[in-house]
Amino acid sequence: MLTNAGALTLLGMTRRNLFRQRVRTLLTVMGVSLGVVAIVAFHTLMRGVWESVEIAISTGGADLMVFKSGVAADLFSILDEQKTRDLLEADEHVAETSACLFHILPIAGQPFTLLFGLHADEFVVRDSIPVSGRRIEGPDEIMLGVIAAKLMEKKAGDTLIIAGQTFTVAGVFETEVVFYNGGILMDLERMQQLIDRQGLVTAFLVKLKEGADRDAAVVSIEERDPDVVAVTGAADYNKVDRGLDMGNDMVWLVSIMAILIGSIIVMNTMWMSVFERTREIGLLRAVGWSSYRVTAMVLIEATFVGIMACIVGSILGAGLAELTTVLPVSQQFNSPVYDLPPFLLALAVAVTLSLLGAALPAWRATRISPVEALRYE
Amino acid sequence: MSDQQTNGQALIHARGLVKHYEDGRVVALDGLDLDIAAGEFVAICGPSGCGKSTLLHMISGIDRPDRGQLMVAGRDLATMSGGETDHYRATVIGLVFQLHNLLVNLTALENVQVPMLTTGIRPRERVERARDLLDRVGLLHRENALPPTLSGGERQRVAIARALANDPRILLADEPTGALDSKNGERLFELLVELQRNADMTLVIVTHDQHLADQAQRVVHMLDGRAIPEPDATTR
Repeated sequence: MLTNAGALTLLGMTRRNLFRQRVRTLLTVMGVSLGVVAIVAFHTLMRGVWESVEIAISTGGADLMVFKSGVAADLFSILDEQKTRDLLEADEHVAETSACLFHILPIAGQPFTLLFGLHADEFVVRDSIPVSGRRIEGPDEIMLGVIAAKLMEKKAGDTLIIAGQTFTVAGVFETEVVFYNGGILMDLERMQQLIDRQGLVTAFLVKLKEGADRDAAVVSIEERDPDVVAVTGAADYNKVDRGLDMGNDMVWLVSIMAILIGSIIVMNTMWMSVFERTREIGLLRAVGWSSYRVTAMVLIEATFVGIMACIVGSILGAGLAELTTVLPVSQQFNSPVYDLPPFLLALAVAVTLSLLGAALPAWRATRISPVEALRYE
Repeated sequence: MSDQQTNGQALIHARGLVKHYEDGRVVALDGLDLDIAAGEFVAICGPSGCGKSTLLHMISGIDRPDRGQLMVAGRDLATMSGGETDHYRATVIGLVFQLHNLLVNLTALENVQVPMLTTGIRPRERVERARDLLDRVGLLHRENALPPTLSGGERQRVAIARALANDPRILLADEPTGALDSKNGERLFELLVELQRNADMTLVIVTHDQHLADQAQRVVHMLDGRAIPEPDATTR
């Protein structure tokens, strides 16, 4: 009976070629995977931030957030609470508002703890469900996010000193927003006193009336007061904070650097590989292999390297991103999102850079004269 | 049958072949004329540097003359495109070198299949054909052996099987026994002769060994890039 067992294929040949120099192939894969690690780790983290921003804006069922316009970052936004509330409640689209004050303080050994103040009777607090204990009821009570409670080793009933003043932990809450989980919620007025911001807030969460057009509400609010901006999601968050854009830019910058390094590593490896196999390539040409087939062999080898680098780099990159959820400071702010796009991007980049790196060696392979190659020792 | 006696239907027809190397300082072929008929077994002899291997390279299509005409199987090699030359090398020519030139990371069976990858033969047929060829050269039992584990004679037999992979009309062998001891060289030569007779191929062998050359139907002597006319050339 005829079988395919023992059949030689171009793919099989390229696999053998790669495994002939195992250590070199492994080092090349590791080199290329550096780029993949950067892409996967940074992109999953950035997607986590992006998703957290999306969810934060819709906290408690809010449709948009209103900040001070012209600020460099969201935490620098300062709004007059009463004036802004009056402005928003006068808008025909707005159903309900919830004022928020954000600040970052070193608390209980955690150098960057997000402190956010809300009115206990407003919808954000009212609609939240504590995982343990209860909601805040008085000015000296606080709720801890689950990550903050874990890091500070506090539970409902414990006390916590913030800016020299003692607060009682009423409960622990958990949201889908990682930086809220790493933070502390307290009564807004109490927080205004604590950080000396009486009558001032950072932003307003706004619920629109049923059926109201969100884009029209944004235009309406911003036209009423040019000193405020309304944001509806991560995509227009750059109106109040360029951090996401800068983060994305940094991610790409690091990724491109890693990609360039990986590409050079592939080029070096494939060049060496083609150089070492000059005689073999000459022989292949002598027995009728076209230059296209030889090129394909070199490029397929590079593609294999790219795919292996993608697998290794994706595992390492995800591991690195996951590490940020364990480290004390970063876990208060980071929660990587492992959806498909970063991994598809990593695969595309790894294979593309491998092919780019192999292009010159492949071209050299096609220039090898069979006669000269067969004389080559 | 001398060159001059071969008629216009020669399978290999060379006229005035000139080939220089190193910017003309080395003259490999200097106006060579040669005709080889289909099914003929020709030995090409001559001192080192007389142009024997260069001639084989020209006929195999891996090198081109600077001047002159070389017709093989009715085609002028000079007019072939790159793709046509690749196809010609793969299907019309079988090449055996002095050194076996096997791919060291492929088994004997896989080495024989290398030329078949260019011709679209289905994988199953490739394997069967490669096994059949290894059987013909007496190495089927070594089909899974890698070249470093084969003896010199065995490697050269695998190389012969590879040269026959695409059932070529012309088998060119460049000092095929040059790296073997006399006993193995003799056996390999017998194998080539047997294969040529059974397959009705044209066999052109370059050799230094007069004893082996004497077994050919015709011996072409070369000197300084030319075939020496020999009215009484050995003819069988």
